[in-house]
Amino acid sequence: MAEVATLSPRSGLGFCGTSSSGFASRALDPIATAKVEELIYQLRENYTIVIVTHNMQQAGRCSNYTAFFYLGRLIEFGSTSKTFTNPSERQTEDYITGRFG
Amino acid sequence: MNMPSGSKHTLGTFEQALEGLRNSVMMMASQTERSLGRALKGLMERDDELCALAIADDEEIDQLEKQIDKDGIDLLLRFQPVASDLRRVVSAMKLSGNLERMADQATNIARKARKLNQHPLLPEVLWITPIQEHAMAMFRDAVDAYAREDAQAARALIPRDEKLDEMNAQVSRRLIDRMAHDPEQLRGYLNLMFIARHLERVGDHATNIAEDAVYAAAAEDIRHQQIVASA
Repeated sequence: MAEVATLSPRSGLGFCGTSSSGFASRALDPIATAKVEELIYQLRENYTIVIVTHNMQQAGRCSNYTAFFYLGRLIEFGSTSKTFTNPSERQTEDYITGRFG
Repeated sequence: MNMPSGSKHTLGTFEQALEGLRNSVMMMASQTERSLGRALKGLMERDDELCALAIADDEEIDQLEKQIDKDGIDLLLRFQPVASDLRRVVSAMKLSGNLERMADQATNIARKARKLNQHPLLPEVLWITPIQEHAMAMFRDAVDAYAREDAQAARALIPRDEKLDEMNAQVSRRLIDRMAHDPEQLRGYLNLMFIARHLERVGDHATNIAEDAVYAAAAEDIRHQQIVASA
């Protein structure tokens, strides 16, 4: 949970980016992961939650919006649905489809 | 994080699975075209053997449809594709369904042709030729647009279906007129009407393939839109 930062209460915005370690993927078992994700679903009614992860499935599952960062630069930001079906930037496409990274 | 290194996936097995799925679809398209070709040649050349081959093709094409669905599901399960990869898998699975139904139309045409071949030649069979040429051109162009991931070519194909519908309607009207003048040949004319209708359905499936090609290449869902023909 250390990597989860809450921002601007009541904004209603869920947010998910990518960085070094998946907070609820590798380190936790499936039950604990599910509990954390359930908590995110509850909290996102009232809080903005930022999750930093390399786990694309988790990003797609948990977030309303996704941002892709590469070498410290924001490459793309948009709805999670759009980002994971038809990203605007080639670098985003190449990363989420496993062509580099 | 490594720098981008080209268009291939980092995971070789993923790349192979996607390529394998695409190859299966292209093989299925090729077999479907062959089956339709045999059925139509069987009709025009009054060749029962070609008709029998077209009917026999259907079993193999059915199996390919099942194999493509299985491979697609396996790919979704193992690699959880996203973005263009996800669209490619979804469109491949949808294409296989349309190809299978086109092969069913080939079987239908072959069966009707065999019935026609048992009776003296009806000169009106030549009325089928322009419909056949139009439907088969649509089929080939749709598969080609899919293979080249050419959304523009796929979009251009959609209005051509209206012309095929009109050709079918026109031939049906002429055949109904012939039935009134020559009721003894009613069965034969009916079989020709069915064949025109089966070819019209081939055009519908070609349209579906073109729509799936647009989705795969450009992530746009263009189904069920009012098409304004560009005259």
